[in-house]
Amino acid sequence: MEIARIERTQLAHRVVESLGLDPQTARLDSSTAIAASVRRAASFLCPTPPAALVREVNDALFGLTESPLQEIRDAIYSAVNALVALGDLVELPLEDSGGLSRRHLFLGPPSYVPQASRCIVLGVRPEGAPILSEGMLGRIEYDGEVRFIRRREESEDLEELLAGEGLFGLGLEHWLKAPRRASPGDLVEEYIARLDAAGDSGDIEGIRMIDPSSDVVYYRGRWRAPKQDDDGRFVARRPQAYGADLWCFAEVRDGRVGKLIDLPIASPIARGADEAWRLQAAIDRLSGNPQRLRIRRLPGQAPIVDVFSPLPSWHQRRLEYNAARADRSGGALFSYSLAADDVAEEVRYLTEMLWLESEEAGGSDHGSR
Amino acid sequence: MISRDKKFEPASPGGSEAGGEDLGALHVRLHEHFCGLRDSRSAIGAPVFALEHGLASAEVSLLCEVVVSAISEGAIYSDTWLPLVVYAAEIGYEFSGDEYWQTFESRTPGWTDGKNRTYLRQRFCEFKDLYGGAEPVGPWAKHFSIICWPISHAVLPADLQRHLARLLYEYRRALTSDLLADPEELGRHLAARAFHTSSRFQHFAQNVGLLGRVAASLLLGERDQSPFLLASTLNRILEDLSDERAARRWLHDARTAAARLRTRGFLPTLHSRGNGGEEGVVLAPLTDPKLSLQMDEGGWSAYMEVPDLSPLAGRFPEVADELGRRRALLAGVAGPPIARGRLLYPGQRFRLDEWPPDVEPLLMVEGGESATNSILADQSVLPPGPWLFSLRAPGYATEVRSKQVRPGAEYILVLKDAPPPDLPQWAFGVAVETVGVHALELQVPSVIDEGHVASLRRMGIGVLTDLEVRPAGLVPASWDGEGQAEWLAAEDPVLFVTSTRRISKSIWVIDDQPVVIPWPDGENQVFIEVGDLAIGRHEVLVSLFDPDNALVAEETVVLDIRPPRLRPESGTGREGLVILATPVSPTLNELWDGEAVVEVRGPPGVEARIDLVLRDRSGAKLALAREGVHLPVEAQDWAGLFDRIRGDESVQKVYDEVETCEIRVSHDDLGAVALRCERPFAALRWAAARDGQGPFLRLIDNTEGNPVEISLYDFSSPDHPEIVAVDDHSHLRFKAGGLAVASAGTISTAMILPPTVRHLGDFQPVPRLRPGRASLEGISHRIELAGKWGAASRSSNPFGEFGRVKVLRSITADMAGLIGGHQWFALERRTTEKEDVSEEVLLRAIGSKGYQRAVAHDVSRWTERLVSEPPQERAESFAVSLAAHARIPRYRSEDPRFAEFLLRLASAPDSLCGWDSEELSIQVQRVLQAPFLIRAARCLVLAIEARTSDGLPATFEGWAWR
Repeated sequence: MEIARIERTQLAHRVVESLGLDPQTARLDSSTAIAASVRRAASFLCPTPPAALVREVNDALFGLTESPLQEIRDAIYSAVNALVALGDLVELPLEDSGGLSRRHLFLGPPSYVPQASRCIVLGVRPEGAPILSEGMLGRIEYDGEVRFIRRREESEDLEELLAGEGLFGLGLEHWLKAPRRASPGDLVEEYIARLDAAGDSGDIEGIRMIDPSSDVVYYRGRWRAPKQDDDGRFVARRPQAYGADLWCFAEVRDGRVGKLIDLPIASPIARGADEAWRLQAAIDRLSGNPQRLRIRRLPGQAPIVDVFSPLPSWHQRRLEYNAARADRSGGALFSYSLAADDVAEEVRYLTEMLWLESEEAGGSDHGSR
Repeated sequence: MISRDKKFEPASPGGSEAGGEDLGALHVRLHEHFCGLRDSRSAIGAPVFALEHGLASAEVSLLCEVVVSAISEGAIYSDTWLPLVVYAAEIGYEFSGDEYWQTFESRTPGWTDGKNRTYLRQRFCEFKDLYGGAEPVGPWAKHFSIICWPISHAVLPADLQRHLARLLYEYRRALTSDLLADPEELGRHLAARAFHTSSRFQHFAQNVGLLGRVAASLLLGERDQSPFLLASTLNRILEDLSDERAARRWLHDARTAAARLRTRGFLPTLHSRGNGGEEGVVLAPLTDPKLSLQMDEGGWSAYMEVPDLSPLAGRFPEVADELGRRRALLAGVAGPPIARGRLLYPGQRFRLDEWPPDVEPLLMVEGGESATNSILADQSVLPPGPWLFSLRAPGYATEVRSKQVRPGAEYILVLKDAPPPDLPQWAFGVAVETVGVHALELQVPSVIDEGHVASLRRMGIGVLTDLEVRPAGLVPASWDGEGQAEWLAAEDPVLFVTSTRRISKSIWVIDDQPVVIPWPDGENQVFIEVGDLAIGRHEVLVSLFDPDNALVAEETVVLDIRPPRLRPESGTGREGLVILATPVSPTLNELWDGEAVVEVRGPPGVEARIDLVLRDRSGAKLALAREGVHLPVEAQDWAGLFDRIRGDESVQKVYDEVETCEIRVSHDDLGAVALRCERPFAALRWAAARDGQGPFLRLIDNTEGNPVEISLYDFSSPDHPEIVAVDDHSHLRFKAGGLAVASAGTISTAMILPPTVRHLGDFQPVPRLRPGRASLEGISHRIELAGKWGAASRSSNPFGEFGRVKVLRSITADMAGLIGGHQWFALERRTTEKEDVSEEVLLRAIGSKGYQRAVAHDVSRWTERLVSEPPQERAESFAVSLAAHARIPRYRSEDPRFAEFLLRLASAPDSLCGWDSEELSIQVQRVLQAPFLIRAARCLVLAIEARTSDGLPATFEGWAWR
């Protein structure tokens, strides 16, 4: 047994190493390292509500980084969301022995998504076990929360190697599968019809909702509690006693919730947030306050697309596939760098699926109204 | 040793000459080789194996040829037996499945006499005596005292290699240098984690010495030489293992982990107090369940997480054995006992409906040995109350064993007694769903004064101020929020220590060893790394001192170091899909005969795929059947689902050749999990097959050469056996089909031999039973007969199953007739043969007395409601009716067990064979005293059947008992 004091920087370095990362390229407060910490915590804690997972990682990293506490906490939340969006973790209903159903995070199955030059590696094994064997582990590269392995040569059968490692092959089409296209009006109508059919919800304590009249480029600032003069239908979240906060669509009269439906409605394993974010995008478009997309073109660099609202996982995956992460700037929630030829196609897709309004940095409007 | 063996006389003097010379030369060469091995091993006390013959593969072929030739000529001599021993070990290495002797006989013409098996054992015993050969040990070796020799001397038979590679891979992160240096201990650790492997590997693992030596040898570096195995033998196993990519990878990673341990020079030790180990380090209380609270609809509910019992199993194999075979009882958990083997899966949480009583053990095995329950009672302890829980997330709190709170934090306090009346403002009662306790929420003020401390003390709670110690860096495997953390073996815990006071030094006492660590000037927090901790529990006392050397604060933290838990292929509760089987690792027979129950857990309503993959002995795929299912698949749904899969034509055609069956459940977003079931090793077994002449059964005899008697019961006279014999190929044929029972001593096995027919219309057996008596003996005999037919293995042939059901229905009706009286007997016969008896007639025949009519009325009234309920719940309702109306001696209050007995007797008497014989006798006597009860029970059974089409396999539809 040995016991000794260890300096903060040395410890941070060692933790990064223990997470299987290179301390020369990844700091402990980088998105890559935080995602690795979340995966490790999840391997012991799942099934768990996201809040417990965030707390566990936050406690372990406390005092270890120079970043402000709130920033680290936010980064852990973002990492949990990103891992759910990618498929490293899955949010599922869990019926406990008392018969109550809650939504918890489970470990995503060890799997891979093949691409032309690489395979994206997904999933978490229980008990902190590495996702791949010793021989393959060293080949993993990181881009933010995304893990991937490049083909050594074009002909390398990476799929077979990964299948041999016990990873489940996920078709690209399945991984990128998006909901059917719809007009914002049709989409909102579908949810309204469901809401109309719902019974009286009774008082819902602690509910928070997205204010459609708020500034669409500041997502966090859009959330608030119901006000006395609120009338209408809102995308909202309500707390659960033990589990992830539930996404819902609520009808509010005089500041009180009258009816609500919990999301998702498409499938028990769909992600509530995905439906909620798309529904909000439709509501924003219909109310004439569409969500924004900014394209920055800098000389000698690939164009960068800034997104100001959270993206449903099917779209986040598409961007992970088609684009590269870029440094966030100007209040954006995500920034991706795209090949110049791909920009138009991605903008078209975003405007068709989420009805965003695009603008060029500097003000030239390419709206799709 | 030179005396001539009289067993194998040469067929002709000339014929034996050449073989004798070859054998002699081989014997001499092997004798010298094994003498050398014996001498080199004697220093370390390691045994020699017959597979360590050191012959090249061509020489082995030659040896086999010579032995085969000698045996066919009857020319094995007592001074040339070593090649035979090597030959037997070689077959042991190659064979898979349970047909060792059949393989031996088919490759060795002339080896047909069962007595030769005894001869072989004698030779292996001689090998042990002369060359320090391995002696098989373990329960399996005791039971199969002959075959265990060639199998054990095969070191690691080919079909077990994959299992060991996987086990080593899964256990690699828990390896320690001490374990690598102590093969017996390594073997014990591995054996304790082998519960989810095949039954054959579990038999192999019972010999922990052999398992440990093989494992330690496989984990050696490429250039290292094993002291336990000859290099050529080890290389052979390694090469064979490498044939399969997954096994190669598993072994590679396990070896890498072992190599890292050796080069690292870091030797975490595994010692325990009183076990000759280092004083001061204790194993964590292995079965202390973790308690947590969860906010449910009606308030807080307590949950208990069952810990990993495998370390306990390592120390007490008999406990693991019983946990695998019997159901478990958890104190405070309502509902039926926990399914067999389920507790061997760690990490499962159970809701406590009632707080466990102080006097009751937390964990018990139902009907288990008292020694087992005594060990479990000692090991699973609920600490004395009150119980403090730290709020870790909204609606979720974990137990704080130190019972100390921190200023500004929130807790739930659980008390057996009502809370004191003078509660401070920051402590208030909260609703709790768990019966037998009260709960308080404590919102501990940020600034604590003496009044607060006194209030807390009255509640049995202490306060921690001025010092906080908690895990930092790598997220620990578990942290209760206040004083107890868990890391995996080979991880070095780091603790973050903060104090609001000015500190100059800290003293750390870990496992009674004090270490002074200076505190940096001007700092209020430090990180402390504790390295090289052994697996087990370590108590750390942290004391902080100010510049005047006065003690400022003290806190005790518990650090548990544990091996990682293995992940079975069937998944864990942490994943979206998991297969839970009862028993944990069912054999193919258990699965096929409906004795195993499989559940699939997953998100409700999601559709998953279930594939049933059947493979033969060589691993080749024979059939694949696929079904879509909506999750979850509950135990009660499994029988119907599996019946559909089993009924698939492609499955039926090949089943009798099947060696392994894999149930694979998959979903694109949830991944895939699998359960592998293999044919078990059995002393006697029937295998069904079919050729141009029709269906037949083949007897696989792995007995110790005992004489085998075979009885055949015809479908038409199901209680009248005839003694028959198998032919030279061990085949049994009988055109009319029936029940074939093979017995050798106390061992017996039964299987339905299907009739030789083309169409069901050609097969309409009318089972006739010999007249019986309405006595305890007569009814017990009928139940036993039903048990014989009911327990017989199924073949894939539907005609055989049809015949079996016919027989079981006849036995049931006959027995009901015997008990129910002459009039009822006639009605049963009419019901069976003509099916023209109405429900009204049957209900009237229950009896004319008032209480009999009242019961008949209940049966009639409740039938519609009971149709949708499982049989066990129908028994509860039946018990209510009987208690209300029946005038039965000693039957004044509800007795669901007796009601269950009556309904089983009336619907599936074969299912009563598992009941305790004394209880069964009592219940039979009770029904004999009140015959109207069987009439009422039969009425209910037939009425439910008439209204059911659940498709579940049962003698009477709607009566699939579980």
